[in-house]
Amino acid sequence: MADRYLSRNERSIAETQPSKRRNPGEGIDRSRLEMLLHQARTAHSPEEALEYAQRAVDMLPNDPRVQSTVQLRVFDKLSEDAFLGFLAETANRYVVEFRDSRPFSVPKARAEQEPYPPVRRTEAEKALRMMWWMLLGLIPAGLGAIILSPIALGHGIRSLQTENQDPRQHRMAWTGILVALALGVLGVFFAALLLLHLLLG
Amino acid sequence: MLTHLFYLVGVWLAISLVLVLLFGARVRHSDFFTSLMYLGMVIGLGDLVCWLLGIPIQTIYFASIAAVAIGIPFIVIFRDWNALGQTFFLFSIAASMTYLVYAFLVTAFSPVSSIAFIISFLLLFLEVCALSLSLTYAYEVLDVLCRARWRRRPQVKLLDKYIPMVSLHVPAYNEPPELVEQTLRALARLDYPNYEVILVDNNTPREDTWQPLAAVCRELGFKCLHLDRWPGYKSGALNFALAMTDPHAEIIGVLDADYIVQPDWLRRIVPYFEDPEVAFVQTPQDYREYENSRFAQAEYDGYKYFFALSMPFRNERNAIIFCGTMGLLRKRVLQEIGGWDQWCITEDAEASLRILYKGYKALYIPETFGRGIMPLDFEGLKKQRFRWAFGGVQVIKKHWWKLMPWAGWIDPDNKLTPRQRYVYLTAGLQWFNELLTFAFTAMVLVSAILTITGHTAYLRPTSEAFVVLPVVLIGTNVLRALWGLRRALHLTWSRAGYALTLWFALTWVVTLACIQAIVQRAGVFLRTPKAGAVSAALRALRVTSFETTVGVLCAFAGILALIHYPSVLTVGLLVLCFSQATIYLSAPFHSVLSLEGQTALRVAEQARWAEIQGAYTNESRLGLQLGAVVFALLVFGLLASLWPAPGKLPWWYSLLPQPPPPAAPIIPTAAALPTFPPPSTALPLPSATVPAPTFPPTATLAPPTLAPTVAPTMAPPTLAPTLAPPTVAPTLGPTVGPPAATPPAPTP
Repeated sequence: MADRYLSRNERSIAETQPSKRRNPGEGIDRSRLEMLLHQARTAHSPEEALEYAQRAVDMLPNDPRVQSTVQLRVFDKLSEDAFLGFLAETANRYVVEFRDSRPFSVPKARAEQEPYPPVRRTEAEKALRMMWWMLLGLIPAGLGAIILSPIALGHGIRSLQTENQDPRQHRMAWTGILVALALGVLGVFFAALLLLHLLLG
Repeated sequence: MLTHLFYLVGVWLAISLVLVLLFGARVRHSDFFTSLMYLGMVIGLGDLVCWLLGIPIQTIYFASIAAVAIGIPFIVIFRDWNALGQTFFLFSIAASMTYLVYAFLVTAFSPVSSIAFIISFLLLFLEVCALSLSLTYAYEVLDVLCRARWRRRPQVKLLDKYIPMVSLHVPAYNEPPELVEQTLRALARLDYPNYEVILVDNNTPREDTWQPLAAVCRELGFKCLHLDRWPGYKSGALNFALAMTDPHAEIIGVLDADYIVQPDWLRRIVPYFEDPEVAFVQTPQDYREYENSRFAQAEYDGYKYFFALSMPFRNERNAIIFCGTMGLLRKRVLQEIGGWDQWCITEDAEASLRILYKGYKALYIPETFGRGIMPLDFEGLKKQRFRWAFGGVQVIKKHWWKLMPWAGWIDPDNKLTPRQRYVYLTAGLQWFNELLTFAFTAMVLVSAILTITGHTAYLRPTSEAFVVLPVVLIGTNVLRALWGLRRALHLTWSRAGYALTLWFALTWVVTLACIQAIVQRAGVFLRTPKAGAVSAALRALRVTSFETTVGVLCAFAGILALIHYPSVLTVGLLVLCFSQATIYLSAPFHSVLSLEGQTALRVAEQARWAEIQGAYTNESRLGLQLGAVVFALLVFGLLASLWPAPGKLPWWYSLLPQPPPPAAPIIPTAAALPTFPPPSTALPLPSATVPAPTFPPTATLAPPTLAPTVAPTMAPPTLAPTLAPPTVAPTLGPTVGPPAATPPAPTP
């Protein structure tokens, strides 16, 4: 059964995980799960035990008893040889192999992290992030801030125009707009000073 | 008026500095009236000095009233500090603000060319950053050494009925087997009834390195994982260890592979987890085998500084970091935040921020329970510091939006308090102190080269005030740094000096790390120049070749500038060049010093084991890139010197209040530069009598940055991550241009 991991890419594996269902555990055949756990505990060899444990993982990976069984069986095997090779990783499990063994999966048993760096930033995030560039833009007598301020305002306004928006994005957009305005005004002040020096010359 | 205020505040600052250095760490009492009386005494004393120096009585009178008015709320806000700390910090802020206002007015309203105005603006920006960082360091040091009341100092707890299972994770990569065996055997002696140990060896290339460890684990009943081709480095390995942790374990402990722990570690620390809100508890990282070498002692003192000063400061605000070793954290919380971040190379500090974001508590217990091994030589220390600084900046890069003042409004799930946000934000930004130092070094170097080549680029005009207050601020910062080291760690002056110069020595590498962390999308590690088969001493010098080059350049440039244009101004420039040279030449000094008490063989052996896995960035390439930036700055300076300066005073000067015409030009002549202004000298603002930009160069000192107090940001790294060092950086400012022999008289 574990061989299938070798022929699938990571995304497809992730999509097949039971934990992706709305309610993990829903629709699971409990008696079959109990039977698999029992067989994993009483198997004659670590390989056989892992085979049963794998089936339990496929059914309900986030169940503590399933995880406990997998850990016990994996360490049984590792007590002979501590080698464990990495094959792949999905959002909620590792695919690994012992030396010269078939691949198997281990549940991660933890929440998913926010991805960083993000694949795509929202308009509100772009507006707020522009703050750093505008701060740097203040150095050349505010000229950079004057140029960047409208860009940040544009991101912020586009974000506000988005319908059904997350309230956080809405607030972030407003913050981005206010910051852009404040830095823009400061930039204008500095640029005015530069202008005075230019006129003087 | 502003100039007089400037000197008045400088005198108050100097008096409060002397008193805080002498008695600040000894007074353990604080109440409102004592503080008010003390503030009045310092102000009165300063007033007397300034009156004797000839500052007008009206200025003294109004400034003193204002100082008391501002000081009263200040005393209330900092009521947990003693009077000496409150007053010193008040005048540090006042002096910095006065300087910046003064610098802004002179920059904005001096008759200089537009290019000189832009360059002066850059300098002003650097000054704002340097002074702000300097104040954050001062706040940290004073908060610990002048604190009369601690609000969050944990009480000792004893193990009772609460005996949760603890899973101890020991990550290892290519570690000497005998070293890790010591660690494992110490763990086997732990006096705690319910724990497991998982040794996670990731990607060690040779089987004969990790197989003996697997045998030791079997003997001791520990679990051992050798992870092959594993992604994510240390955090990737720790994440897998988390997945393999016994489901009954409630607490996770992380321990570096070279740490020998005391048997009572768990027994003493686990009871703090009885409070379900406590997510992690950190104890100090301590070290062994440092007594026989001055380099190792300096290194040790640098590490200890973080745990003696920065962590207690953070603990008062529930803002400590998890340092990656000698700490315990609640497994449920670690799972809730998604485990260790594999993008950030200081995953421990990064995880702490995500935990506190959820509203949990963290505790720092200032008692040593284990000791590890420090890098044996400067090269190892340099690589470690690069990693910490890189990771520290990564944390800010990823989480800055959670630390902004408005973050709680945008994201109601953000449970970070303003104090926590302040601590994390400043700790991250303090890494940039070294970058500022490098920027000032570049400006000083360019100024010296322009002077040597006979070019003049104009900055804002220099007055005495631009020299006096920065000198006071630089001196204040250096003394504060030494005071912090001496008082917090009970060091002698010479040992504190070694620790301070070791911080200086790492300026270059932290600069590189900051730049790399900003531009790189993923973590990289530093590869120092290859030394080949050379002697230990040559190797020690080779790994600091860039620091040596910068230091020697600064020193020679200063000397040549003085030879070409001997004057008081170029003496000032020489001092600036030498101070920068001292910073960078501390690196070869400590690199050679690290050979003391070591055999070359041992150093080479450790270097072999300590090689880090991961993507590397080449120091030689980075050094050349930075050199190119300085060269570009030099070319810009040369071009700026050719730009025509305004030939008359601007019309809008007539709108400014005009001072009575001084007898002598306000912009200092060389001879007048270092002296206090005579009482009649009024504004630094250009007046009709001020020669227009043709002035001689201007040496403008940048404020000090010395930051920190030296200190640190120390975040330990992976200890934390961050240890950040010092900041002392001086900061000098530039001067640009050679002294003009005789400035042409302005034509109003």
